[in-house]
Amino acid sequence: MESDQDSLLLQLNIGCLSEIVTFVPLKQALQLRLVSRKLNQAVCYGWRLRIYQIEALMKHCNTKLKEGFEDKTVEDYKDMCEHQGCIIDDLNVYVENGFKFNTPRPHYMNIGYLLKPSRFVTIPLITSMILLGWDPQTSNMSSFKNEKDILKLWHKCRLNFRNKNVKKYHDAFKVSEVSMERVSTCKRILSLHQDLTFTQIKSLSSLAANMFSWSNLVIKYFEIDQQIKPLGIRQIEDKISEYERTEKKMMQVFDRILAHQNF
Amino acid sequence: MSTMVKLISQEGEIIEVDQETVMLSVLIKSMIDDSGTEEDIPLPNVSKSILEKVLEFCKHIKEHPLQEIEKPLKSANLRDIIPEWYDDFVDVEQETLFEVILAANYLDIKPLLELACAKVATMVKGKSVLDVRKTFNIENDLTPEEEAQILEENKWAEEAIQ
Repeated sequence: MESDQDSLLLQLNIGCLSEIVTFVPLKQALQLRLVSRKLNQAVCYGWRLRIYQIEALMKHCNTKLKEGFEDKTVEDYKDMCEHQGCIIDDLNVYVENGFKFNTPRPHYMNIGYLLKPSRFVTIPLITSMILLGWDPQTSNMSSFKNEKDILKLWHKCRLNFRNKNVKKYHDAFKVSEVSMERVSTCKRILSLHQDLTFTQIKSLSSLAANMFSWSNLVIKYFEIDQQIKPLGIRQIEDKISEYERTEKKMMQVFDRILAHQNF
Repeated sequence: MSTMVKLISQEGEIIEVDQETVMLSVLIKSMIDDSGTEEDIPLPNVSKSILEKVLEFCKHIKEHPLQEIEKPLKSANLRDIIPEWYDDFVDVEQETLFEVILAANYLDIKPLLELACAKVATMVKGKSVLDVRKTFNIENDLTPEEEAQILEENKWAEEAIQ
């Protein structure tokens, strides 16, 4: 379709224009529909093709997964991806609620409601963090009861996990590689809580165990990730996940729009 | 010694180039596959100056491969995404840039088409509708009804896309 406008850009054909708009983030690309009729068509046409590309990538990805792994590994991997968000959410709730007084904690009733909430979070979390390689001496947290600092630490940890920077965690969680110095630091921190009863410590330990079962999941995630990397599908998956959330709606919208346009 | 092929530009001028370089063009490759390297290859849609620029790209990419440019662009500065040479290559007047796009499309050279389109996209990225119209000298030819319809159709994106 030729444009009767003077604009050099609009002298390009729809194919070239649509290639351009797919380099623009979708939200802005949709706004570009308001620039002119031809650009409107280019956006719809271009992003429709982009969705086809994404679908093709998804198929390629699934085929690669099926070819490259036994069924169990694929299931493990998918399970891992699904659980990743849940783990973070669970821990978020756990950390946030841990700071609230009088919050019923049905799974850990033995702790008792009068236990200082900071401890509820501090012991398992800080112990985990130290084993992860964090140096408590540099952060001025000798009592480990500062809610703000602990949360900051947790957010940093969560961010790394979200960014899939799991190698660091994987290495740190190998207990055999944890230095004696770190283990003794943990003991020192726990000694700050000597007033706790045995039952309370036991309950807190079960929370710590939860943290470490999380660490096991991180290790598993990392191992599967390492297997997947050589297949080159991780990068593709990252790309796909960027669009998956909006894909269905995009399809509906572009189908409707394109049905009324001639190219 | 590599085989040479003769390309004929829009102006009728002959440009001689080694076969390996021009095989990046799917159009030229299929013409060579069909008729061999003996016959001259007419490229009536590409001017001499643009053809020379295209060949400069083909020669460079042979030695310095360009990775696929990620969509959508992560930065409005192309230099953050691709090597400097490629950024300089498309740092040209709008008219030349669009001619390169048309030539890359006609000759079917995907990496060049993507590079030049990505450059145009950097000129669009982050700009308002009015700014885009101004940058590219575009008149609004949409009716108020069409504009209203587009706004209605775009509503979902406000909620769905962060």
